[in-house]
Amino acid sequence: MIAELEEALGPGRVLTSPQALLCYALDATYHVGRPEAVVLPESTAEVAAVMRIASRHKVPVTPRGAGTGLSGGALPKGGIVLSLTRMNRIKEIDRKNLIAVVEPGVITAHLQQAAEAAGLFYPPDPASSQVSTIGGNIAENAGGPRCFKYGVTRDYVLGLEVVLADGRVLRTGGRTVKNVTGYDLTRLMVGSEGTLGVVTEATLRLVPRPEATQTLMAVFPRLEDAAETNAALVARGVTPATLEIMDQLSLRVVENYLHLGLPVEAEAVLVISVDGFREAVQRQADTVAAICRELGASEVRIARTPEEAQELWRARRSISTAITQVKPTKIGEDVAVPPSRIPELIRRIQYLREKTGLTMAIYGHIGDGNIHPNVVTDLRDREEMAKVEQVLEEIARIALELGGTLSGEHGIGTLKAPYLEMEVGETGIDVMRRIKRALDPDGILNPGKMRLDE
Amino acid sequence: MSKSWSVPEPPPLRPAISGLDYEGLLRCVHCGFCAQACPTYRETGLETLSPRGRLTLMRALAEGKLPLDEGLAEPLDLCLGCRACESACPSGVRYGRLLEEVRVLTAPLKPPGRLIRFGLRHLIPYPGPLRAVGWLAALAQRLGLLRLLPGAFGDLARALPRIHPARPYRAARAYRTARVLSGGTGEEKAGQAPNGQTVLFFRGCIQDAFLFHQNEAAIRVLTAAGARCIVPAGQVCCGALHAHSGDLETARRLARKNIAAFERYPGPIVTHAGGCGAHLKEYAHLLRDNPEWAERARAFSARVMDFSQWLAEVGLPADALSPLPLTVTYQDSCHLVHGQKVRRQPRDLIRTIPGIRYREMNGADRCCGSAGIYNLVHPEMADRVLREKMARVAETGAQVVVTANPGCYLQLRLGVQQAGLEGQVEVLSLAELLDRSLRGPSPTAPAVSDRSPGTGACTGGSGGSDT
Repeated sequence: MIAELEEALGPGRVLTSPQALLCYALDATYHVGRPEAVVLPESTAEVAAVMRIASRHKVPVTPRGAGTGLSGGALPKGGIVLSLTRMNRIKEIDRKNLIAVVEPGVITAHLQQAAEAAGLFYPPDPASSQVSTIGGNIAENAGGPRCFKYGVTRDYVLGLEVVLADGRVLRTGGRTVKNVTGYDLTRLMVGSEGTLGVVTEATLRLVPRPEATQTLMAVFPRLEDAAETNAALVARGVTPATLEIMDQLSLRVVENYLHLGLPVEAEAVLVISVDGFREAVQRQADTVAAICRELGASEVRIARTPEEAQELWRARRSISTAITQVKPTKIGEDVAVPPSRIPELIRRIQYLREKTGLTMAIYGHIGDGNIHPNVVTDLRDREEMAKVEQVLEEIARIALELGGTLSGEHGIGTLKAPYLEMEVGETGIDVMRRIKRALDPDGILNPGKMRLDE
Repeated sequence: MSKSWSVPEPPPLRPAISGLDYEGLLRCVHCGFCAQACPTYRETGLETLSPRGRLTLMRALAEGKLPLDEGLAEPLDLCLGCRACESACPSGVRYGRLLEEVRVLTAPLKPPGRLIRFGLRHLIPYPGPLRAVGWLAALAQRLGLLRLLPGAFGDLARALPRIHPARPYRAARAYRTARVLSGGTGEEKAGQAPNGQTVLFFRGCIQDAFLFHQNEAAIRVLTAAGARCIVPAGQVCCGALHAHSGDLETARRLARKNIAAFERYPGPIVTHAGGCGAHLKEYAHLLRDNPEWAERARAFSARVMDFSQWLAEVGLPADALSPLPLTVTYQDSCHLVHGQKVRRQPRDLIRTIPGIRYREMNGADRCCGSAGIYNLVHPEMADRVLREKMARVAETGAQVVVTANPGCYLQLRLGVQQAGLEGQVEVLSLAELLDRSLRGPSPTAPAVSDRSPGTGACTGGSGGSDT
């Protein structure tokens, strides 16, 4: 089979050295896969050729973008890793129709820059956007801080080109915002974690670029007051572009590390940004500041320059660095609940943290209810790792009890597969498996994910 | 919950082999944020040629999962060592240190060519013989022989600016003269800093033997800023090239010599080479296990400053700067920006020169491919990186590219030549640009190197001959 792959792709584009296999066994989780070969196709035809060879030999194929996923979606269970990093052309930016056509290996940030250069805007903004690929974003339906106002990756995918398990090429959707022709296969593919097909081209929707952005930071002595902000803002007609929360431990960890002079006595700090026309942004920022004060904020800072805005974001962005100074292994959670339940979610996770003595920073996007309790531990500490797994399961349970979901933006992959049934139930899993079997009867596409092949 | 196929066995508590900082390796959580910062990953899209991949290989080596062989050495050898990944890393992995450690192990498997090994071992550490080589090179350059060198050496030789034949000799004389002056009346001539600051000037190896005009320029600028400038005798190459290529023994030996040379004087130790500075600041780490030297190394490293750091703190007298009507861009030195986190100061200094139109280059903090001796060992990859860099330079429309490290300076001169931009784009060190502005208007004049030296402001250290 290796020889067939080499013939299809040419020399140097099939890797089998032990060094390469080790490097492609990992993503951004602590889980590990086991690849037998890595292929580097450069066109849809080559991807199709690889899929034909793989389906003939019934060998697993795991599509991979930048390998920055946080749920284990790109971890190979044997077989071939299909690395799409070399299909990285931005084929088209259509200003008139607000459309971008890209290959899957395009870096998210590169698309954002290309859109910006055309006076447009591609809003999905996962934390890894500087390195993640659009293909990976689509496979995991990635989100980011801007989702409350702008939606997630799914909301920007108009059409796809997908190579199926048997090597046939499927086209879904098109170039229009409205499209109700047949089943919505585009949405079926988005977030399917590479288990139904390999995205080889995406037609994406762009929006006009906001003229200005203004960033604020608000310090809340009480967590519950901070969590009220979202509803209060919306009631006054302000839709924040981002609304980020950091809990007290996050603040303390960052302050210990960077000495930024953060208010470590506060129970929560919000970083809020508003965008739009310059005049409107100014009014919105004033309104946000007033509302935060009404709700009990002890301090509100408004950034006057882009540099000051960067400074306000620095605390939020530094959490993950700061927390890994405590212990090396970081496990990022991403449950989501309806926004009004956020105080309860955070309080209950904090209680878990007290009870178990684990180090866990809680932060996230309160506008869309997506919270990241990030545990740090040491893989070598077996006792604590067992505790961590219990806590992760408990967090999943709490989120579901509060009417939420296991994963807001990371996906299920291997990391959350054990809890999937808790949310979707037996029927849910059964329907998913039937869809999977219809498209991939031999189960060669990204096996081991979402419990589809158990 | 049952264990799934993807859940790994816990890593061992202790590494299988010694010599690698295992705890440091475990800091990498393989998030992948470093990938786009890495020149070799951007060029190839290969995980094995990304920082995360290389750290994975180092960890596998430490855990005994992969043998120490050529397959492992190659991707580590292909690393430019630019440390851009450190700036991108959210977990604070000290990649540069880890790379130096693993290269001690892999160097024997991937030795550089004989000429490079000879140079590193027998020339670079010895200022005297190295200057003699500089002198011979100047002669050869004049006779047109230097251009005849084969391969990457020839490319680099052709990139050298005109070396004045007397320059190596004059260098020796300048430092020697300075030594005499230090005992007598020279100090007044040296110009007193308003704050009475004494600056200890680090000469470097290549700068001293081949790019002496940059050292002269730097000393003139420091003096204009009010420094009393001392060039301690007995100083040698910083040892960065040795440490990067796995020869930590030589690196430590050179470090001890420099510490001994500089600890006789108080004051900041200033270098205008980003690569040297980053390494001088690492002496504390390099000698941490040596009871006799650890404390002295810490004291030394704490005093090291980049030229631009010191100047930005002290400030240049605004009325002394004459206008330069030039469009200028700045190429970060990797080890200055990623190693020392000095980003703002050089840019601010360029902007203080009246008349300059500063254009920030896209990806200015990305490596130019010089990377110490990388362009000699891996000319092909260095070339790919350089071509990309020159495209970014062209976008800015700059007439002058300012650099902050001699390797970058030569590499960009090479890039200018290869792109056929000679006469349109000039490459200068930050010291040269500031010096040019301080010395007054002369828009048609070539680089400062071809003017009178004027190093009188420099006071040498006591002690024996510095060669």
